[in-house]
Amino acid sequence: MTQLQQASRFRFLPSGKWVRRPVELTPRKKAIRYLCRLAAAFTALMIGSYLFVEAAGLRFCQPWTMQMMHKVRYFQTEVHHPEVVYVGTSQIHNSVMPMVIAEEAQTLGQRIGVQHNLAVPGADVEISWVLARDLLVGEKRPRVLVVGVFPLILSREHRGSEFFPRYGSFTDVADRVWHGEASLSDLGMVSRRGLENLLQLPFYRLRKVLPGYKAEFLAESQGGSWVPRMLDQPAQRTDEEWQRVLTNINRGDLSQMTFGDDTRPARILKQFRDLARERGMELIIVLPPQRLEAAAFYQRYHDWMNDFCQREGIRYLNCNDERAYGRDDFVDPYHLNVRGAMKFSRTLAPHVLQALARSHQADRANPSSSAGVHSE
Amino acid sequence: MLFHDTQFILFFVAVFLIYWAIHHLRTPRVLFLLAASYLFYMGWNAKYALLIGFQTISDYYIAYWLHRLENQRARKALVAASVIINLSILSLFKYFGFFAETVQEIGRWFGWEVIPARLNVLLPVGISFYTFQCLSYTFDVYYRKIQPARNLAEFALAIAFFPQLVAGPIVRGAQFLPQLESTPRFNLEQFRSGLQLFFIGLIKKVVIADTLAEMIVDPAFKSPALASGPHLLLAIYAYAFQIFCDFAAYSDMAMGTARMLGYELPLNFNLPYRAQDLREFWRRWHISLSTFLRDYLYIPLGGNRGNLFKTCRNLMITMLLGGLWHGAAWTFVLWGFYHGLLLVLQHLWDAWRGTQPAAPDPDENDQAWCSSWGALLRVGITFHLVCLGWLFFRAQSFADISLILSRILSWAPGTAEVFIRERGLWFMLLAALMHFMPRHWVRSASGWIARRSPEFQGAMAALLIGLMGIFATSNHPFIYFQF
Repeated sequence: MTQLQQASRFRFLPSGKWVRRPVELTPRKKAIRYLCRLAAAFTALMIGSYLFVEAAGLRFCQPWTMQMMHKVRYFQTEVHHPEVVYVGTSQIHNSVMPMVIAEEAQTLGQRIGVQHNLAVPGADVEISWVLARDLLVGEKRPRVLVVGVFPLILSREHRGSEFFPRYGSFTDVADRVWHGEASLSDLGMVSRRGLENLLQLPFYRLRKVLPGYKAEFLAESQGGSWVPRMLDQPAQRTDEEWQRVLTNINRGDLSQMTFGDDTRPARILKQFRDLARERGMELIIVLPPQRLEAAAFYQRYHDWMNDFCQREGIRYLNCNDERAYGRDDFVDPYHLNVRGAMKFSRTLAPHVLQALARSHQADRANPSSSAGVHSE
Repeated sequence: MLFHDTQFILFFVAVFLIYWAIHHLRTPRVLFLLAASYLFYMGWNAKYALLIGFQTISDYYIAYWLHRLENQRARKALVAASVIINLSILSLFKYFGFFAETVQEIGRWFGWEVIPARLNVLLPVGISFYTFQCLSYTFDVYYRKIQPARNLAEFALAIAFFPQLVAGPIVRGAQFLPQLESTPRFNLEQFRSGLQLFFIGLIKKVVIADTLAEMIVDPAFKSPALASGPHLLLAIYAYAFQIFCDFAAYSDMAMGTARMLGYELPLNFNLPYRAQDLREFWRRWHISLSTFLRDYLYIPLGGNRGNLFKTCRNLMITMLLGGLWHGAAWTFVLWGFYHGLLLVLQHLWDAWRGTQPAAPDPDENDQAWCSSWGALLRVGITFHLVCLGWLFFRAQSFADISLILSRILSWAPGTAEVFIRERGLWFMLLAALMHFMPRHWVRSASGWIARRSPEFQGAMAALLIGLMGIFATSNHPFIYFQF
């Protein structure tokens, strides 16, 4: 054997094949190789699932814990021919009480059929859109779809807030971490988002409802369910802390959900409009009440929303009325308490009734459009 | 920084890589780990790192002189100084408010309006653990059980080693300092087993303990007046598994983290609910604390060397102080008293029957707990007695304890606001299964994973993290952080 052959990493077999020489690794190299392979597999699965989920538009179940998935499941299995469906964030989840709306309708001498509050805490407008797109089909198609919008305020004072990693892309979150506006935990959360979504996929598709959960689903689906639980909890932040948060807004260093004609929320609102037209649903966009410290900010949001909806032909309802809601109607700056939620639900009722009347009118004008989907 | 935080994972990866790059250099290795440990602690509160520093320096020099001096009186004075310094700091930060409130309460009974001074200070995380570590080192040097640390940095590392700094186990000098003598060698098997242990801890904490807390325990104990009797009863059982999974998770993660760096920490939990009597329970539960109390309190008090009365007195004092160690509240004292009483009764029973209390070895027979109907019955009775103790431990006040007991006994109905979430029951079953399944199942599962390729293991780790993200309820700190 020549020196060159000896030094070669390959060996020539009499059968005519070249084979790689077995290499005896040192323990150090062995360890490094093991760690690299372990880390590579781990990272590849994380990145791969993240990219796949983003590309395939499967980011529907991101903000939910299993508890919230049950709410969706209840809707899928137990609710038939809904007339009104509410989607949106925790403001809608917490503050829209279908039973109060039905009562209010009765006092106005009218009747509302099955209503379902499908709003999910922490769900931004995109999540609401995915929910509406996937769930409100066939006999699940309601006459009226109420979408709650909410301009999230995420400032440096919200460090560690779990909200942003749910919505922002990996690079957005990484950028915030780099600038000290988000924690490394946020980066961890956004990194595992793809995998979490994929793992939740079977649960999302699961059609069976476990009997023990029914009461819980029902409670969650009727709105106001948070309120009693939150009443005995101390306010999450003191007024002084909130003041600090709000001061940040004025300084302009907050990270808020961006809004404007070229932004993602605007695109999604247009998709909502198209979906509603395509499926024959009356669409109402609602801005729920907020506490009034950030009035200027909400006014800016409202002005844009009002203008945008008028241009795009979307019905928009601003319920953020400082005359109607006082501090006593809130449990925290973003969420109404029982009194506030009832007040808000009563405010919403006439608008829902009007939308229902429009839907019936449209049906009468074009009977083939609903074709037995809506309950009568 | 919590062990189940991404922040900690990134911190540990950095520490791991740098540590193994410099591990062959003794001084840089020790200094690096020390700096990392202080950085870890300062992530919670930078100022309180000074406190650990102060206690470390004072005990290092006290032990140094204890070793050099021969005069017994001087040595006793030095030990007393260490005890006074450490316990004063512990009392000031942990018990001052409790003592002040007690004085106020006693004054109120006599109709006096006592307005005690108040200290508005945070309780330093892990103070009970590192104070006991400092004390155990001083005692061991005093009894000449160990040589003092070679230098301050090594002793400081033994006290502040980040895996065990905030919630134990209470590592003694004799267990840790000798490990610093030899140069650690990276061992793949050791690394794998450390990683596995870390993941087991992560599952226990994030999936089981937090879910039990969220689904069953917290709603019931937060509003006992609204919860039904059956719910409250179930909450006590669920809490038994929650606290075990929570605390054992921290110990597992601490052991796993340390093992990945080439250090071994002592076992802190050994499947405690398999115990057949209270004595065995304390040999399996929080082993590092119970052995500390045995070696540095019970035995110096006289242990079981005196007559029956003295043994019972020593037991009771040890358990009362053990209860108080857990928290500055009368409910913890009651918990300690309850355990002390049960141990005393067990001792009296043994004395009456004339049987010598056997020292059951938890490792002797893995299946001893279910070897006969009698053994199973004893395990059941012990478990229920321990659960009753957890009620005293978890309840906010004496009023809550009596309310909970009365609601359980009257099987009171609850309101719609507080209810058991069914998912919690499944997780309770899982916790029980993990606790009572044969050890060889765990060993063969762990062996099976270890034989798979690194890619498979990496993918498994990623999937586990993904699953934990789904089942995670909210980010609960470890229960024992408050101690």
